[in-house]
Amino acid sequence: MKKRLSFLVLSAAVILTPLAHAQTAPTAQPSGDAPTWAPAESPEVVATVRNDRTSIIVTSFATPQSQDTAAGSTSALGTQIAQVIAADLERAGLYAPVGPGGLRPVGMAEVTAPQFDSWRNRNAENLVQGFVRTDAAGNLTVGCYLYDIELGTELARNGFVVQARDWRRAAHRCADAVYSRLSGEAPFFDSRIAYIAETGPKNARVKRLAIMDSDGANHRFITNGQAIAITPRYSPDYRQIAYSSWAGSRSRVYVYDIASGSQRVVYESNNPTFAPRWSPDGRFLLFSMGQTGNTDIYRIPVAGGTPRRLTDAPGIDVGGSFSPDGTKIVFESDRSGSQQLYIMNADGSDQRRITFGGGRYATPEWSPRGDLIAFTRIQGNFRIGVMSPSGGGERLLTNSWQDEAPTWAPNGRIIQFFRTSQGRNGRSQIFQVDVTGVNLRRVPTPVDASDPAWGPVLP
Amino acid sequence: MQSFRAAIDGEIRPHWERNVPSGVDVERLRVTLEITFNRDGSVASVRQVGELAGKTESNQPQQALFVERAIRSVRQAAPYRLPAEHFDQWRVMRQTFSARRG
Repeated sequence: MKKRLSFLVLSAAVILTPLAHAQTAPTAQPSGDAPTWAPAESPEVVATVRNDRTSIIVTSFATPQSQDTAAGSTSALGTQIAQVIAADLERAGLYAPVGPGGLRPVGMAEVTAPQFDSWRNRNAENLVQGFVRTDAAGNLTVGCYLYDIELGTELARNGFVVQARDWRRAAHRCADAVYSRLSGEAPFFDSRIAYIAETGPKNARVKRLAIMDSDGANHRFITNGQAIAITPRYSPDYRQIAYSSWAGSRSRVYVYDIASGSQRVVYESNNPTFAPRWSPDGRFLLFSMGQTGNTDIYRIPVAGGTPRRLTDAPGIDVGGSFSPDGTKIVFESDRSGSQQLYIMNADGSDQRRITFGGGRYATPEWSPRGDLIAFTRIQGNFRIGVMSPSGGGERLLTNSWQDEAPTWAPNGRIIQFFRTSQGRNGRSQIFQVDVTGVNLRRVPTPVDASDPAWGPVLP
Repeated sequence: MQSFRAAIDGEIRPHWERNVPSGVDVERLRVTLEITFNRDGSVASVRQVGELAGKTESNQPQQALFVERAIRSVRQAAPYRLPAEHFDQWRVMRQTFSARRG
């Protein structure tokens, strides 16, 4: 069940060196012959390794006895939870899940005492098993176990208690536990994505704010489309979404409160305002505003007030994104004559350019891990790339007609962006790619989509 | 000794190829393990020798995993088919594990 990725190949080297005290002296050789061994210079043996996906068996979760819940019976949920876990792992790009369909049922006793021998003929590395049960209050308890089939060892176990209606979150949390243990990365499945849903003809496009779970489930539209909504971003605590909106000649930066469904204006102007971004502490928003051909980046308290201008160079300065520690901001500016990326301190001081490659650079987005900055590279076509905050180590991850506006998964491993296809009927759709450049795939949305914004892992 | 090395390499390599973690800068990492064998070719113990080399901010998530997977490769490859009569020559061996992006 291994899928082979075609465009990245890893080579692994195994270098053997005999330990000094285990060595014996080399036998004297006739002149011209190679010695039988050379301890210090043992040759590096390089083997080509394909970036195969790790095969993982995911069985339907067991239940002590099937009971009805607000989300269906626990036996049905046991299968549905395993299906969500398998789909999450598949989408992450590193794994080839097997099951739960087509696998034999696993009883409660076997969940914690897996029958490794019965799975070994499937050539899988790992086994995910678990259980689901309900209590009198209607809560679900989901137990999640990860095993190493070949070594016959337990790698992780976790338990999650959720309300029955949140069963998908328990499945995402289990998938996150499996993914983190096997990849080393921080979790990301239990998170949400905000984006702009686009409908209607190009000359009268309706742009609505929408949100969905990281796997596309629980989709809903937030705004009704009477005003154009763009560039959404989740607050660090997930309670709010900041976005820009245009209605007539008025331009506004809104903060939408998810729990109450209400929104308020943080700033409004007859000048275009766009690209609001949260500070990591959730207290401030950056946004860009254009005035008579000069666009600058401003910082404003989330509660509103007087914006403070952070850039004042002639030309267009836009799209600030904070470093995760909040001390620096990366932004784009055309002050040199073409769009390039710059970094400044959070107070606007010490502005310096970090990109010097050919073409233009736009929409920088600092990784939540802090180690990389994602951007749109414009040179002929629009491509998504990453580089270090110093501007080095640039790698382009996509190559299509128009890919733009990267947003990071909360663990900094996957980047989403939107791709526009060429032509009058060209569509805009959300795609994602692993930061190593593999596993490019479309993220399904009910209508055309742009400006994805991946939120943090749910609290 | 050359033949012991080749034999051990041949047994570990397919496991290491499957086990090497993926991620940015993983190709910079390098770890040396010391393996103590039993006479029957099973593994008595595996320990890391020295520091994991090539650490960067980007491969931080894979650093511990890299060592764990190298050890897993050694254990998966057991028992090793090695000549018992030369046990004293292969009882303790060191191996360095690295990955390279092709």
